[in-house]
Amino acid sequence: MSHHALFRSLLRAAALLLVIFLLAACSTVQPTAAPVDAGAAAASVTPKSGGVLIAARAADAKGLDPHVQTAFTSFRALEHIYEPLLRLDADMNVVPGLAESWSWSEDGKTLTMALRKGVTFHDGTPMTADDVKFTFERILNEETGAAARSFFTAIESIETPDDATVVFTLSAPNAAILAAMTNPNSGILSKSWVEGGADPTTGTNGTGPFKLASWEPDNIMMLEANRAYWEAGLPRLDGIEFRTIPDESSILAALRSGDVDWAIINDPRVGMTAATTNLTVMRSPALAYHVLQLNASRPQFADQRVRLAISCAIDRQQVLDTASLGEGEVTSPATPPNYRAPLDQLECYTPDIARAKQLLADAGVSDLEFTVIAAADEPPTAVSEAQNIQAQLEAIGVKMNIETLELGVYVDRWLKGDFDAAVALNGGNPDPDNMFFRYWHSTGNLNKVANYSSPELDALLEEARSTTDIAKRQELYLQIQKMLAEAAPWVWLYVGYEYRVMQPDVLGYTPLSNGSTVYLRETYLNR
Amino acid sequence: MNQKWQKHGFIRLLRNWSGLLGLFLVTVYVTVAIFAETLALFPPNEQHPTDRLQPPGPVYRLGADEFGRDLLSRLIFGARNSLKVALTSVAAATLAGVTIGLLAAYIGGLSDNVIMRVIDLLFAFPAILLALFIAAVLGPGERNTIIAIAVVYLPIFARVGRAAALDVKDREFVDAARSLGAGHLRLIGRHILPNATAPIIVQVTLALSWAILTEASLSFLGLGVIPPAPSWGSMLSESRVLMELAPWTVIMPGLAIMFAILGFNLLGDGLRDVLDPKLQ
Repeated sequence: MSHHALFRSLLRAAALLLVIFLLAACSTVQPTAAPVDAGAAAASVTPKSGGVLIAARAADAKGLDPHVQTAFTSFRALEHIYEPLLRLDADMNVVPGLAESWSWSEDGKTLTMALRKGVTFHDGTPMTADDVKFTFERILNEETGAAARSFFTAIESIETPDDATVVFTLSAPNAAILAAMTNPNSGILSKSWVEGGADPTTGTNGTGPFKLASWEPDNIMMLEANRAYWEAGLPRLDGIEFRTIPDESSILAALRSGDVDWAIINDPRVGMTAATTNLTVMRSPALAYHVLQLNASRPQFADQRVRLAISCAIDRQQVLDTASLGEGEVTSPATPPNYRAPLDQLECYTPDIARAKQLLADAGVSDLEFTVIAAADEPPTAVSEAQNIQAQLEAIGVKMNIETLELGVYVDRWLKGDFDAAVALNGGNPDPDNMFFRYWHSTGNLNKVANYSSPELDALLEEARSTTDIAKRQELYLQIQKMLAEAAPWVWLYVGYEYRVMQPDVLGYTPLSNGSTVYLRETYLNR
Repeated sequence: MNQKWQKHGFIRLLRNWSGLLGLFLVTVYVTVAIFAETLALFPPNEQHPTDRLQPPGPVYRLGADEFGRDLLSRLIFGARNSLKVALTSVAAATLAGVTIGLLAAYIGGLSDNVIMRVIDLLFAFPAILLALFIAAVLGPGERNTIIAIAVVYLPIFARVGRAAALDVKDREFVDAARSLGAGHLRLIGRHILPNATAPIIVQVTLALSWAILTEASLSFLGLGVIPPAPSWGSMLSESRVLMELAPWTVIMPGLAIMFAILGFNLLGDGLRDVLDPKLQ
């Protein structure tokens, strides 16, 4: 390109930029309309049937095998096709699904489940106890590489006295197994379908309200209504067209132009922008939590007083206010609503600079310096969180360096525990055992990421796992959370919101805090 | 090239409106970068969480970002950062590139061929792609950004240096100097290089604008400066989702990048009009 041509095109680009900026400045809108919080859906209209919902999200499903997929994006598609034995209600309580009822034996080692009758797979064959037995045996088979396997290792044997009854015998009492049976990773597969040679990685055959009609990966996934679904009158939609639109700002633009009916939004800043429009925004506190992980195996953090000093120095609300614009809630170590510890009972949840300095002095540490790793765009708030924490730690004379990494590199190093500290967004779970055991029990599969354990913690975690009484469990998990807050291997920060943004005439949807979108089965278009 | 000619050229630059505008923009930019401490009202990384996303006003002249950091102060220190990266990388590219080019032309033959083919290889990559690749391999950080930009713009200077040297190396005055007993270094340094200064000056000015843009692009993609250090590119990247909630956080760094690049381009264009003998 000659200099003159370059110059002219630059001038043109400059003029264009100026116009765009001026337009943007003119159309500034102030956030006024408050988003609808979970459960406040309009109920005054009689539900209608029919129509295809056009849904958008930033990333497509990664595969079809319900037992192997671990990505949230895969769950959001497969949960409409496959169903687990049990469901969660809006408060994260376990309620009946494909299993109508269940009972525990006196010693907590035998779980008997009564299956719903009249449920069929998409290929028309009835679902029976054999399929359930086959499903759990497939999950437990190490060759499957099932994501939920570790939740079910307590299962010793599975009996099927009749077509509608399944009896699980456990090696030790394990109350968390019920919550694990609500996981999309324990969806029921058809025994005859798989044994007949079908491949669950390329085809689907579930009991869910929708069946897979076609799929072009990273573009469009079409689901059509399963007219033989067991729940009367559902699904209301004729189908769902899932579109992959990689940038959430673009998804919002598509919603505003009316090209998309319903969408999953994760970036709080996009969610807030959506709240300024006439679109319906539903938000609910997520189970996934933002956390600053301190690596206790590194010399800087070997001393508990140093870790606690960091925890005391950080104003969690300020991290939330700056990185996520206040869109979320400060959280205790456990994030399911019914297990959260009252924040005032946890060590250092009230910021106390003087105490933090004193703790550092007691530990004999004067010039603490460490490096935190953060993934560049996952979650979108990670680097912002790191920047605010860095500024806050300056107040107690601690120097924190930030190393931003590409997501793949970050995950590698995170899994190896190769970091002084890490800013992370870790997945939550409706059951605290499934959240805590893998990180904080010395035998947990992610204990080397957490790099902290103690015999007392091990004992408490084991006791809580084998306790089926809800009140007693809550008491035990409160104790565990207090211990964790005091040991401060991590600084739990906050939970963000899950946003579901939809056109005003999309009704009947209920958001769930584990991110599940199963309520699309009740959703309808009022048009 | 003597003093009088240079003075004459400078006056003619002042008569060239676009060159003058470029000179003005560049002067403002360099002044801001040099006197950043004096001009900024706040330390660039100081957070005031209660004032987050304040619109432009009496305290935060150009508004505040999501951490309540003063945007103007960050832009001022961002100017210093981008000037530092641009100057260092272009200086390195010029020094290495021109030396390689002069030597290749002076030695000639097979060495010339081999050197220039390697340079062609570097040339074959689109600049931003090569910069991305180098920055991704070396990792983020100011030093690595400088290396990436220097490598990307080195081939242009090698070409410019070689072309100028080829033009004059067989002229009579060079032969005369050689027959008077001048050594290789003296021949290159005193007789060949001065003939290449005019195109090099133009090239440096234009390369500075590309370097600013490349630095901003790398920072935008998270491969430039390490946060929280202020960089125009990373400021733009961090605030692009705030476009509607707080447009000033996006507009201001965007305008800063635009004016800096426009300035260097206009200046380079003006200089070329003045210095290029073919256009006179």
